[in-house]
Order: sequence, then C-alpha cells, then structure tokens
Amino acid sequence: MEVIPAIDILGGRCVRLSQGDYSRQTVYDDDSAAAARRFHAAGARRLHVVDLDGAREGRPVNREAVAAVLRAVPVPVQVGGGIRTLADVAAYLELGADRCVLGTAAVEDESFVREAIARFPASIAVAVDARGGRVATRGWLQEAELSPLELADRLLDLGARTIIYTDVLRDGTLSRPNLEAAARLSRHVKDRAPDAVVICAGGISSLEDLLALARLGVDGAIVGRALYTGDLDLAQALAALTPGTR
Amino acid sequence: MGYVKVLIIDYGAGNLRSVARAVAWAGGEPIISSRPEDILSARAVVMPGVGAAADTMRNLQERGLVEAVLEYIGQGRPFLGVCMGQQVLFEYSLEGGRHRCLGVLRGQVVRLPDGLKVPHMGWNRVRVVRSHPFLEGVRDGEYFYFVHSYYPQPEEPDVVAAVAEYGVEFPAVVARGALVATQFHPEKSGPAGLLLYRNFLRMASARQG
Repeated sequence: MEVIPAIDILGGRCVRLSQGDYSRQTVYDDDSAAAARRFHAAGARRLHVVDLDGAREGRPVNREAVAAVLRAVPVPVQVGGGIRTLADVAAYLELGADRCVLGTAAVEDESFVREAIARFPASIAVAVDARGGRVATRGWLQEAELSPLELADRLLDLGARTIIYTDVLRDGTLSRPNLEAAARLSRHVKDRAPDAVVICAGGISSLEDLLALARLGVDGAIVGRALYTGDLDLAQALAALTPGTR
Repeated sequence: MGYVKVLIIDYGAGNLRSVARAVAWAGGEPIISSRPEDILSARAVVMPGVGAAADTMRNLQERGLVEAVLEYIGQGRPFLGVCMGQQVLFEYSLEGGRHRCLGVLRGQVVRLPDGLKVPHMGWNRVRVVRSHPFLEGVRDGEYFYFVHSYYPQPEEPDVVAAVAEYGVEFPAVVARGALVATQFHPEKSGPAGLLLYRNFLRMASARQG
C-alpha cells in the first residue's frame, strides 16, 4: 500500500484544516515546496496536493505554489482543488502533475469527467468525499443528495478507475480512520471494478491505522496532519508498508 | 565537464517539464525544441512521451521529426526514449490497431495481459539483466515508476538491459550502444531515476571527449 503525504495549500501556505473547516486551520509551513522536499527526503513515493482556495472557489487559485511543489520533487504528484475544465487538467499535467483529482466536478459535471478520462486515461483520479452518509462538495462546504456508494457507482460507470475516498469528519482530527466505511467502499468498488485503485484519507494517524487499511486491500492512504505533528513518522511508515523501497 | 546540452523533443506530448527538470537536476542544460535541425545538431536527445502510439507517430510526422530522429539515432548518437518514447522505437504498435512506428528496434508493442489492473500504474521492481553504462550504480531490484498499458516484445533479445514483471516479464530498459530507452518514467522515479539521467549525461559527455 502506498503511503501518500498530503500538502494542502491555503493562501500560498501549507496548512491543515480540521474536518475541512476553513476557519480551523493550522499553518505548518510558509513554503509548500519545502514540505514536499521533506516528505521526499523521508522516502515518499507520491504526494497529494490540494489547492484549498481552489476547491472553495471552483478554479485553480494557488497554481504557483502547486507548481513549486511539482518542481521540488522527482516523484509522482497528484493535484486537486478547483479543477473544473479540461484546460485546468491539461495545465497541471503540463506542469508535471501525475494525476488530477476531480472532486466537485466528479459530482456536478458528468460530461467533463467522461471527457477528462477519455482524453487523459491514466491521469485522472476522482474524489468521493463523505460527510456522514452524504457526499460533500465545493471545498466540503456543500452536500450533494447522494451517498458515497452511489457516487462511486456513477464514477465507475463514467470510466473512473482511481478513487480517493475521504472521510471528511475524521480529516485533520488525528482520531482514527473510519475503517468500516473504508472497507465498505473499497469492497463495493472492487466488486464492481476489480481493476480500480482505492485510496483512503481522513483521520489516519498511526502505523496501526495504516496496517489496518492495508489489510482491507486498500491501495493507498493519504496522511496529513499526523505527519506534520509528528504523530506518525513517515520513513518508519514507508518502511513498514512498502518494504524494500528504501 | 561543462553543461551537456540536452535536446528534449517537443511534439505536443506534455510531460516535458518533468523531463527538463530531471535533466537540469542531473547537471545538464535542457533545451526543448520541435525543430528537426535542433535534433540533428544536438549532443544528446530525450524523447518523452505519453498517450497513444498512433498519436505520437502522427505528431512526429506532422512536425517533420521522423527523418531527423532516424538520422540522429542511425549515427549512433546518445538518445533516451521514455515510456511512449521507448515504444515507438519498435516496428509496430498494436495499440488501437496496428500502427507502423520508427522501426529502429525490431519487434512489436503489445497490450499487457488481462487479469491485472491496466494501465499498470505504480512503482515496480526492475531487474538488471545486462550491464550498460546507463544502468551503472542502479541497485538490482530497485523500484521505478510505471504508467503504461502496452509493452514492447523485442525480436532481438540482446537489446533488453533490464526487465520488470507485471503479469508478464517485459523489457523495462532497452539499450543498444548510445540508444537507451525506458518503459518507466525515470523523471518520476526519485533518486534512482535521476541517477539514470546522470548516467545518460555521462554517456553523452564521454562521447564528446
């Protein structure tokens, strides 16, 4: 299982929100690229970058800070937040992003998702962001009339094969991940599409959490706050989850 | 040793900046160009590539680059093909039909077997099967980053320098003299990938004397 450090960018700085609440932010670094370099030095083999202003505004906002991250490390980086058009996708891929993550667009704009997957088949991931039993969109400020499993079904039908499942209420809390919900979604997705990749996020804060997710057959785990607070040691986690990579 | 200028072929395939960055990291001077004359005067050439084989060949043809690439490689000069830039070196690709490619190496490009996730996307071990300056210092079993659905089947087994396994064993690195090519993306493969760019630059500067 891949362990994927998260870099969330708000106002150009590297922050963590708690439960996606923009008013409860902790700034961890003024320089997102420096955070990326630290993760890379610890052995990270993929990074997850979110433009939080972009997610809220529905267009890329922190493009320069994202580009700085992309320049900083020679490993695949997936980028999300405010990506709503093919031009947004093409621009990030051109900057060197490995994948673009479609969140709100994945819920609200089926034709865009279909086109993006057709045009960039290996470079699109979709987000299923769950708050309670509902899907959250627009920087997690809104909820859709849709359950996470319904959204997953729809996205699989559109051709999506990389699904990032986030439990919004656990995100940034250093609690425990919602393993039952993660297991349900992962099993559901893989029953329908054995070739799908499932990445989980939200509340992952210990080696035990990571090992539990790995046992569920999840392909990747995104870790944020726990890496910044030091609750989780990245090098140690990588060594435990991806033996032989370093 | 001064900066080795490395010509990165721009044929509208994207992914150029990651390659340019890796070249700069490795101590080279990246130059991005789509002009045939720049290829012919280059000391080292990298052909990146994403997307489908047919599109890649059409893009190369539309820009009048096929002749230049063939002439450059034919002269035994340092050339690095990456991902699709490896696959189009072969005679044919079966991606979406049967498409004629550059034919520098004999063999065809076929789809990964059913039963596994395709595209093959992720880090995979690479086993070195033959020593080559391009692979100098690479630990056997080192991980590299792959994104592909097709792989080449060379008719001349001696061009294979390293292999990976994904449902089937396939060439991860092919090499013949100063012509080298990888199925994985060295520019996204961390320190091990950057080492390959450094080795490629060393091959190019050694040639210059």
